[in-house]
Amino acid sequence: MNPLPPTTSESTILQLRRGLRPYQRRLWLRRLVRDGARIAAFVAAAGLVLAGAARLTPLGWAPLAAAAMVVAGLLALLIDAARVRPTLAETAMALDSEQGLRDRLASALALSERTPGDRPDAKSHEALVRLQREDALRSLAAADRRAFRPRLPQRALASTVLCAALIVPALVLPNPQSAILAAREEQRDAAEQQARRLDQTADRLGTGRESPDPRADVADELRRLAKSLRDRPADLDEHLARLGSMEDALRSRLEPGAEQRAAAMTSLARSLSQLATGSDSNPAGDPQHAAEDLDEMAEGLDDKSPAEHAELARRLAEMESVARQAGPEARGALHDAASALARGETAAAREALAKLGDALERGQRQVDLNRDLARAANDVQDARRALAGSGPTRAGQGGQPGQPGSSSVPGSSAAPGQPGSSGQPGQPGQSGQPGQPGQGSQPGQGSQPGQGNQPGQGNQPGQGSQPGQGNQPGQGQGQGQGSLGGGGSNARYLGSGTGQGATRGPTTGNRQFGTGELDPVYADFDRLGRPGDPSYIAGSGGDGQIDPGSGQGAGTGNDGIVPYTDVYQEFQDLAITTLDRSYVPVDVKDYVRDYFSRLGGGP
Amino acid sequence: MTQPALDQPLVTGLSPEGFADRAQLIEREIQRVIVGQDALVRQTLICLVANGHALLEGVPGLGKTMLVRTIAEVLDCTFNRIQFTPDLMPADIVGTNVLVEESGQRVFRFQPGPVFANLLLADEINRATPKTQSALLEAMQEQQVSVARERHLLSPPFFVLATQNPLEMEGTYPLPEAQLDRFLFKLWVPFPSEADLITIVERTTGSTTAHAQAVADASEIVAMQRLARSVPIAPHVTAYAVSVLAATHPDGPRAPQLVREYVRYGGSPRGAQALVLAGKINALLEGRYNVATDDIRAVALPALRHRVIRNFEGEAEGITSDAIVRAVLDAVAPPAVD
Repeated sequence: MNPLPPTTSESTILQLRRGLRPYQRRLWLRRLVRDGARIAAFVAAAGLVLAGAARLTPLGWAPLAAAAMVVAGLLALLIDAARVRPTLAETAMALDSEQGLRDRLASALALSERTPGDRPDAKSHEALVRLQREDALRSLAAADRRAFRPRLPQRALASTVLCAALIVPALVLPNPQSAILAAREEQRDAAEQQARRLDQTADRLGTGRESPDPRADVADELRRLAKSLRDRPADLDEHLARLGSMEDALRSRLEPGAEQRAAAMTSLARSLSQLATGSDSNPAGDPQHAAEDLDEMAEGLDDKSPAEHAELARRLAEMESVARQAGPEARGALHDAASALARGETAAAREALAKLGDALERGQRQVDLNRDLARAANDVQDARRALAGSGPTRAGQGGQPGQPGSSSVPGSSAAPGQPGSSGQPGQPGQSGQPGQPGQGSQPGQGSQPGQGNQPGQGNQPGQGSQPGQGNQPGQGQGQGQGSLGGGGSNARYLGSGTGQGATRGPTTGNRQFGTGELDPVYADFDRLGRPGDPSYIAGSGGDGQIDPGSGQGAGTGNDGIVPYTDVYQEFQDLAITTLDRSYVPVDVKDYVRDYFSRLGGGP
Repeated sequence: MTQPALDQPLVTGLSPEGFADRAQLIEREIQRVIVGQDALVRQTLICLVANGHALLEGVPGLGKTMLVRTIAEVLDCTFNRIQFTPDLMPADIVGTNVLVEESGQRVFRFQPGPVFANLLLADEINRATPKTQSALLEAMQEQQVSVARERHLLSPPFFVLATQNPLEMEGTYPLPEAQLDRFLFKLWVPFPSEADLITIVERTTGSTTAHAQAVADASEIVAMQRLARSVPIAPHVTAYAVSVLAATHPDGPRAPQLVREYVRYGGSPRGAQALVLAGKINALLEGRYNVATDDIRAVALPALRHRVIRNFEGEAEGITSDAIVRAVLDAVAPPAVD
């Protein structure tokens, strides 16, 4: 029998630990690869879920979330790297298991920490421990150096590949939510842009002014609006409503005839300065300048002869028609001045001229206020339009069919049919229902044969475009093709005639919002709708069937033919009022005024 | 033959290699007589080296008695056999004081019973009454007998091999749990394979009968026992053995469903001792100096099968103790690091 070997030294265990170090690193790497694959699978799965969700609902934060997932995955890997770093004992156990070493390494390491104590067989125990260490060292030397080769977990790898394969098309294929996100971004930009515009308007209005000047209050309200736009750009409905209310409030303060009055005041001031100085010293018609000229003229009244007073009175009286348009106060002061001069009362004339100068200056201030408010209202209107136009578009509803043309009444001349009602907002591409055929006109009884075989055309544009609002932005605007029946004739007296009711039937699909043909039309915004109303765009005529109507009857006087001179003044007043109340570019205003001035100089 | 006590320091050294060589020699010599049954021989040897006792269960004619007799021949130890019968008395086992005449005086002198041997075959132990069965308790646990208030030490090694027949249950007295717990292993003697059976028939029906030669003596067995107990065991292996034992208890946290449903009582602490000690010997027999968790698993079945007490449902359902121990081993995996 061989005796037990002597007690071992610590060198064996040191060699054992040293020999385990490379395996420890390899085991660490294997764990990192394993956990990294799992984390990658998790991140890929989460990314797939995110990509899928981003295709179902607009997620503006999706890219940020994806980046956060990747960062979180890397962070988790870093934490995991520190967590899964194996100890030497773990390495020994793992190597025992992988290489089939039957716990040799783990036992040797574990027993190196234990002392035999005072057990009776301590000597043989130590000898066996030494033998264990040497056996472990031999086993370690014979172990495969390539042990702990990194292994990718198949399930995690398959999950990662599958998720990645699904993510790629989800990212490459067009995402319908991108348009919504882009629209929202555009909406935010528009909100910021309009907020800046409102701030500029507020600065323009409020600089140097304090309450009770209404412009200061308006400036404060505009700044609050701008802040609200910046804070909550998505609340388009609320903003549009507030802007609409603000615009209404501003326009309600506007004086309808302010521009006309301003023109009259300019003309009056120019004339008064010319009268006071004898030359065209105030070509711009500055009321203040005119007031100063009037003061000088008033001071020199005592030096003038009664004849000159009478001449002055006469010329002042000639200006009364213009002064009437400049306002009652100016007219009254002018009348008083003229009367006083005619009576030779210079003191009263001086007082009246002073009042006239004051009236001109007050009028000018009122005009300035009116112009500021009008400009602010236009700015608010522009902001509202821009905001409404920035919203995401959505399909409209199908248009309604046009109304049938009305028939021509027997015995009367074929009157133009009623315009068809405009179509309601419709889905793009849907066609309206065909209109009802016009009723056939009954035979007329005109004594003279008419030539009224002219199909009526009732293409009357429907409602104007109004931008969509809020969550209903961009509704397709449609205009039902007004189908008109009945023929028309411009003959003053018509004999028998045959009217054809032309039903221009179905409307075409409503178009996406846009000003389209209405671009050059500068119409009162309020006339087209209120905030929150659906918007429309005129559709084009459809291919509806024509249901001809025929009728004969005696023509009567066509009241629809009116000499333009009879309505010139009415139209001019309406145009000027419109120019005053609405946002119309200056050059267009000049164009309109020139148009009416040319007409006024006609027959 | 003077034999060293186990609690004395080892004087004559025995290397692990010498241990393995000696064990192989013993096994090889036993296998000259016993055909097949390699696992049974190995487990019996483990039991012997662990200074424990084995309960062999098997149908008659499988060579249980032959195995014990062969071991006695190989080890050159004293061997006695007791055929347990219902009328067997404790004194028939441990011995009794008899009145003898010495130098003209009559004195009581202790007449040792058959228990005084290195190897004791308790054949069909379940046929004796519990009173007689319990006579073996002190001898198996304390390695001594007390007769007439006098203690008589048994010479080491003392190895009891008890057999019982699982078929003929009438007129038997099943061993109580306390006595079963004193057996290190309960070994199941399987029916030999056909090839082994052919060899058995050829060996036993010829003109010559195989005999084993003594290749070790009692002192060497004691040295092997001492060396086996000196084998250090790593804490994680001990913890694994304890975990396995704890899992045999139905209220244990790692107990499998089979244990929870069909086990009344799990193994006693002697079970953990048996696992560790037998594991050490198994490691030495395989030429290793360390105990592996595989060693614990290798000896778990014989060490625990008689310590797991099934409940009524388990017995009614026919759930065997082996199935329960296997379920425990499946549930308690060795400590692994990936």
